[in-house]
Amino acid sequence: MIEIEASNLSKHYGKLEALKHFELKVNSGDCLVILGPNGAGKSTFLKISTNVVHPSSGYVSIRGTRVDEDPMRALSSVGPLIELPEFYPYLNGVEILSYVCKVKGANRETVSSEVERLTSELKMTEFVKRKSGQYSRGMKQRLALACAMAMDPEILILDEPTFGLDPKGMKEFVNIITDLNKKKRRTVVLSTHLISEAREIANRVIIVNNGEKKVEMLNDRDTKMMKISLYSPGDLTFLESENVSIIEGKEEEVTVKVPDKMENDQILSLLIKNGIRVKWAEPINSIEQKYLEVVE
Amino acid sequence: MVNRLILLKDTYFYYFRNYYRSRSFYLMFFLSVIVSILLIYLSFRYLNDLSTFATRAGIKFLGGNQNELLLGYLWSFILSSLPVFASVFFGSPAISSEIETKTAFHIFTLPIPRIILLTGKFLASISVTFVIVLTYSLIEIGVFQYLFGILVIQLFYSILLTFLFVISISAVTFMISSIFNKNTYAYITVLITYLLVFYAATIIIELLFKTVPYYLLNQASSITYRVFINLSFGITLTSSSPVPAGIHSIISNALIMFLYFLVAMGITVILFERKEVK
Repeated sequence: MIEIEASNLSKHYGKLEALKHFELKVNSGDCLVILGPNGAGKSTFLKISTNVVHPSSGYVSIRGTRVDEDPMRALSSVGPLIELPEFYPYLNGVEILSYVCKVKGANRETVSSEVERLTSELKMTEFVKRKSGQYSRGMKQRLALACAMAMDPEILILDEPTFGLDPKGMKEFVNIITDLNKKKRRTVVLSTHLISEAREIANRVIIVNNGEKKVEMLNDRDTKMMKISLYSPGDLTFLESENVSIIEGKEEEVTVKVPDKMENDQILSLLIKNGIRVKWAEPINSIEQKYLEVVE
Repeated sequence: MVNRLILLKDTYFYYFRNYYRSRSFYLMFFLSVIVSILLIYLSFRYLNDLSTFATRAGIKFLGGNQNELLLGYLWSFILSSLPVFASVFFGSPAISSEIETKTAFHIFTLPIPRIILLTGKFLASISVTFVIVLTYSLIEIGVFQYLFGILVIQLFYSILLTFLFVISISAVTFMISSIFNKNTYAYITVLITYLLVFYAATIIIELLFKTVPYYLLNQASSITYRVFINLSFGITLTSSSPVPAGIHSIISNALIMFLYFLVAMGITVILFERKEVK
């Protein structure tokens, strides 16, 4: 079942084309990560999907309902987190969460149990009764994720949800999102500029740049790759006999796919044994490889 | 329909809590109490001198309950400024702050029609202004009851018309706020519109056409104190009469204020529906 569909979606801000004829389909249970540098158009797509911005042409539909035509119905199954939202400063976390739950259809009885669940799952017990004007960035981010998760929506649309969090907070958020996708089978669409995050969360990745979708790929977590820089170009055909395939070679810089059973240092030994002088080498993944291709 | 009303109620209380806990509300409340205290002092200290003051200003009274009308005029003249300042405090940043402070990311993404968000916020904004106006009015009623023993009907007309003025000026302020994405521009524009543009237009029209521009909001709102004495301070003082404004004048001015509310809210709804956060 297609949960989100973008069709011929374009958005102009004056002369700037933030999105150009963008096409996308997100299936039920997908965890799609949108990668791209700043200004690539990933946030614009998510903002159009959540009715924060209106498209110049084309549309986004969620579960068959166009967001621009019936936003209330389209967003009824969505938990959104766009950028770092601010909250009304004189309201506390409980009041904010209660309101979000009510808007999402909770009755009087469910509201308090749902607020309790979210407070405990997102570890907000200590500060949830304080006014949101006193929250730190991390606290606001937790509250924003709690709002997105309120009433257990089928789809989560998250725009850089870990941005500004400390490493521990980032790890916690990634675990929560992964659990929602893997255990509860929730559909997740998430934007980030962190390749490591995409690799950890996604089952599918798209890379956008200059408002266009450049790459759409599956996240092959198990493929090991290595980028090797050489002092001078050399004949590397001997690697193939060891089942190491060269993915890309640019004279003094090559990217190789490492077989599952081989360790990275074995590759280096092999190169040195064959008289190749290695300047440096680093393990990379296929997402990083594609990302660098697009951005460079 | 029932669901929408429940949503509106929840949205109203959501915003009302945020408004009445705000520093703006307490500051406004405190200032209105200070003004009330000054007027209480004036009322008790100078009650018997009011007719002298009026004569000095060139107003000749016919006697009767003149002191009560003149005192009512003074209290209501001050009261008519409260909605202006309250709308600057509560209305100017109403929409622009959603964009500037990015609370729009929180509310625009919720499955709730924007018209309900807007209506809820508008009702919350006028409610807190009502609280301030009502406090001032209750003090006024208390003072009049103590001084005169009997309350003139004009006092209640004046309070009701002030409530209507709150509604209309708040709508105008919401409309201006929905044009901008920055609070400062909204604050400045609201102040300039009401304190400069309307008054400049009044003076120019009075001088050029020798007529009071009754259709301007500042003129229409003057009915809140003209119900006591039909005096309007323009450059030529064309509408001066030491008797209370008649029922025809009250109704026509009330209609003008209501019209401002309808038009301003209509425009605000359209602008708010199209609002986006880049």
